[in-house]
Amino acid sequence: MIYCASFSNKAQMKIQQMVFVLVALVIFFALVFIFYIVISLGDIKKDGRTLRAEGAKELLRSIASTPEFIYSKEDCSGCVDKDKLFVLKSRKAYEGFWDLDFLKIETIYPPNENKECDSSNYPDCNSITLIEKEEFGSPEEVIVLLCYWNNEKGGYKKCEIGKIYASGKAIK
Amino acid sequence: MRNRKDICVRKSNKIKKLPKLLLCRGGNFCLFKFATNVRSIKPNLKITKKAQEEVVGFVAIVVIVAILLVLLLGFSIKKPSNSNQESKDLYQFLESLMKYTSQCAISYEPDYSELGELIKECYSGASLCLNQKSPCEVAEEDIKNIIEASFKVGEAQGYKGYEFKSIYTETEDEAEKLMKDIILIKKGNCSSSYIGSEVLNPAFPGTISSSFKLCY
Repeated sequence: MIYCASFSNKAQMKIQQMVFVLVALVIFFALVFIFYIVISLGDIKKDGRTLRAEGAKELLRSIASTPEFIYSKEDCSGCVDKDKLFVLKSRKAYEGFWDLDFLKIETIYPPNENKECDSSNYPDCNSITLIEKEEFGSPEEVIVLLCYWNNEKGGYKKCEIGKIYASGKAIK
Repeated sequence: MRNRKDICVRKSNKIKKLPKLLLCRGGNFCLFKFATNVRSIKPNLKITKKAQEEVVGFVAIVVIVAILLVLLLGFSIKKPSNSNQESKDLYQFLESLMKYTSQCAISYEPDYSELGELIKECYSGASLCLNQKSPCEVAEEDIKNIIEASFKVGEAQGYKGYEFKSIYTETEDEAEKLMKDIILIKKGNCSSSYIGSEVLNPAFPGTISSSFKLCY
């Protein structure tokens, strides 16, 4: 005796369709997830760079607070003594004292002619370069107050706005 | 009819085992996947719903994963943005700014006032510089020039704008607060994200707060 069953492919097709839709959904969400992860990783890298830059600036601020830099005649936190730095520039004993490739102090206001300070033009000059090796990369910078004794009109303390630039392995 | 396949089986001693055999090896022709039409099979062919249950399980997993992903995305978008930040750099800048030696001497030369003192003089309005300039004028000019020398501000630059503000605040009692603007310097677009800082200077009986915002 022979039994016959009649079959339709319609339901099978529908199930296949559903499976394809589900697979497409999974792939779509996986792509969205990967996109999100990539963006998050980008943010982490950016945060890392910001933290490194912050660390470098903190180190620069700490350099500005060392006895060699700080203006100590009166209470002035964050003030750098321009006179001391000018003297330091010519002291050979300080060569290699800071483990840096580049260290420069520049007056940004009031504007001066862009001149490196030497004994002939001090204090009417713009910058004091303490260290400058051949390859020093891109330096980090912080804003400081540069104070010095101005001998004009009987003498007075004059403070200007300046920047300290530094680069080197210790700063990275 | 289209899409129809007929499967005929010969009744034999093994007919009772047929459904299981097809279930195990069946592929596209598995009888259990065509439950709608299987009624026409005669007789004794048992139908199970195992494959349908698997599909339902799969759907459930996909739906759960989708919901989790949507929630994850939602949380990440809702994460509070730290677009307005306090900046140590700007705090140090403001401190330096307040101690900058101006070209305004109030009592005698060379007793030139610091910018912080000039802002106080500007608020009190009691005196002029020896060169007959007003302390407010000198302070505003110096602050503007220092900011523009220190930061690159402009549409094509790193920062879109800035805002410097000095305010005198006096608290008479807990409810009443007297506030007066002393200096306000603005440039560019400062409506979105910014970094900023604030310093306070005593000016009896109140305080002068000077704030600076750099917008990007």
